[in-house]
Amino acid sequence: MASKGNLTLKSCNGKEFIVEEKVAVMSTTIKNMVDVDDSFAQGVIPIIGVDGKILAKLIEYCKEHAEADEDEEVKSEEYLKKFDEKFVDELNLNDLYDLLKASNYLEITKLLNLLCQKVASMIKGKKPEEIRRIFNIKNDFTPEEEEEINRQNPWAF
Amino acid sequence: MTSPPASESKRSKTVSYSIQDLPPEIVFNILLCLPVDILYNVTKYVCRAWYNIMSSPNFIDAHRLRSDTDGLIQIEKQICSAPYLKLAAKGDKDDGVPETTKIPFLDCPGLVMSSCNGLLLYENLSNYYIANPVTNEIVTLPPPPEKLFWFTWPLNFGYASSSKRHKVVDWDVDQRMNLQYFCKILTVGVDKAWRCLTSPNESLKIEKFPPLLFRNRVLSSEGFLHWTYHAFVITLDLERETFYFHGLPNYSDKKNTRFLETGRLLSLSEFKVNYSWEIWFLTNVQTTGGWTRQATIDLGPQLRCNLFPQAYRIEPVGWLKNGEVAILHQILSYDDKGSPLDDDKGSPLGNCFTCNLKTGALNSFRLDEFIHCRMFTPHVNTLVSMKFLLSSAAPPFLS
Repeated sequence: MASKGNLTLKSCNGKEFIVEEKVAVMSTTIKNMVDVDDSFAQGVIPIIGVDGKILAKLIEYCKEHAEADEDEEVKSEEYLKKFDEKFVDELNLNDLYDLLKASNYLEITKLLNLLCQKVASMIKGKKPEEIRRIFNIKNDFTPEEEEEINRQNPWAF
Repeated sequence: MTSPPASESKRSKTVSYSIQDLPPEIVFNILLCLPVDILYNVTKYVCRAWYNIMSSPNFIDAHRLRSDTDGLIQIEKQICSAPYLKLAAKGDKDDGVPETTKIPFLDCPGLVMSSCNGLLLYENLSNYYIANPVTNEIVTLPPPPEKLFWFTWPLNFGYASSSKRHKVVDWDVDQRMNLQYFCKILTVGVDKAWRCLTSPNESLKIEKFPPLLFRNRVLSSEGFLHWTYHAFVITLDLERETFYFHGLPNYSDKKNTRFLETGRLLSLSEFKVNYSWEIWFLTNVQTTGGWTRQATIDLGPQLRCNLFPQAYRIEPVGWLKNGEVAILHQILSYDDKGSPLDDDKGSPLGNCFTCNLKTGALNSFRLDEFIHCRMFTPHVNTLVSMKFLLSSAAPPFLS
């Protein structure tokens, strides 16, 4: 049982994490659960479909940002920026996808935006074939459709 | 709340799964982070799902809303050669030095009159067109009614966001009715012909408009068009099609003021002394006293003494990043008609500079093509498509 002010989050593979409430409510989904039903604040909150590894990552991110929100002097904007950069740089593609899904489900908007920016930065400067290869995307246009799209003038900036 | 992600625990660690396995709303958010040129030239070719997302009205609208006005386009220039001024690179603290390019556009004649949501309104041989230079789509507007008066009044357009309609507005004078001014309006995609709006004279209780009011370029802000005069502004609410009258904030000398478009709002700058300006934004059109004091730009003694020693006059000429970055231009002299003459070519620092209201950062740069710097209008590249512009289907809340 978590002490007052703390919440227990349980991953889909049974790992439990005790976190401060201010860290957990960085997730709008968890915040809504706690706000609506007080019993969540006492017991264990199951985080469906998020495994222990990903949940640990989420908590790591939320912890840094919750502390920064509380005291700007301890963690400057610059510090957070560096933390964010390092955080996304260390992710492999599968973790990136899992974190995207989890932060979308848990509505951790700041993290979701950060991850989307990361994927966008991986798209920038690449050709369509390269993008397909990196992200394992099948080209599902029919030849007719492809021809139709190609007919639209490219935009030369 | 979105559905929980499917459990990945059974997935083999060696098989990389695809971005296509992600919920579409995540891909939507990823694509939103990309600039228009990458969306239009690269990502639309990747796969059908991506193509469909970025062709959807929801995406186009969301992308338009998050795009800052990233540049200024020179109006009254041929559309295929109109200079486009934009910030070259966005650093962390640096806004980047503006550079001029041309709006890439198919080779058709016409003079740029205005920009709204990435669409350009232009005129050729008394016909009006709206085009998106990114997608190269063009629509021809219904012919304007014959002018009763010889003078071609400046025309502009804007966006009524509730009804999701673009409206073009023109003015004319009825000589038979004691020189009564009246407004003509056209809702793009809806109206087959121009409509007359009730004269604002009655609602505004102004006996006679100064003719000069209609010689100034009509300025636009989000949802509004503004006719500016040195002592007041008449604003048309494009959604309600009603007029508002605004005096200016208390000024000692109303001649040292200038109105500009920020992309979102109407700005007013008043020259004070020693190269400083007070900046006001018209933030609340529907109430009196809608002006909000925004900032004071003070170039300080170092700039005054060292950077532009010979400057006859420096003045704000435009805004980038929706009113965050002011562009100032130095003018050495004017010709007989009051147009600025060639600038100081000898100055190593250039003839223009940007001033960021938030960070206070100053950047000087040279702008050779912009002798008439005042003829700028904010422009942002978007994917706004003519298909939706002309769609006859009424937006949901109107049906």
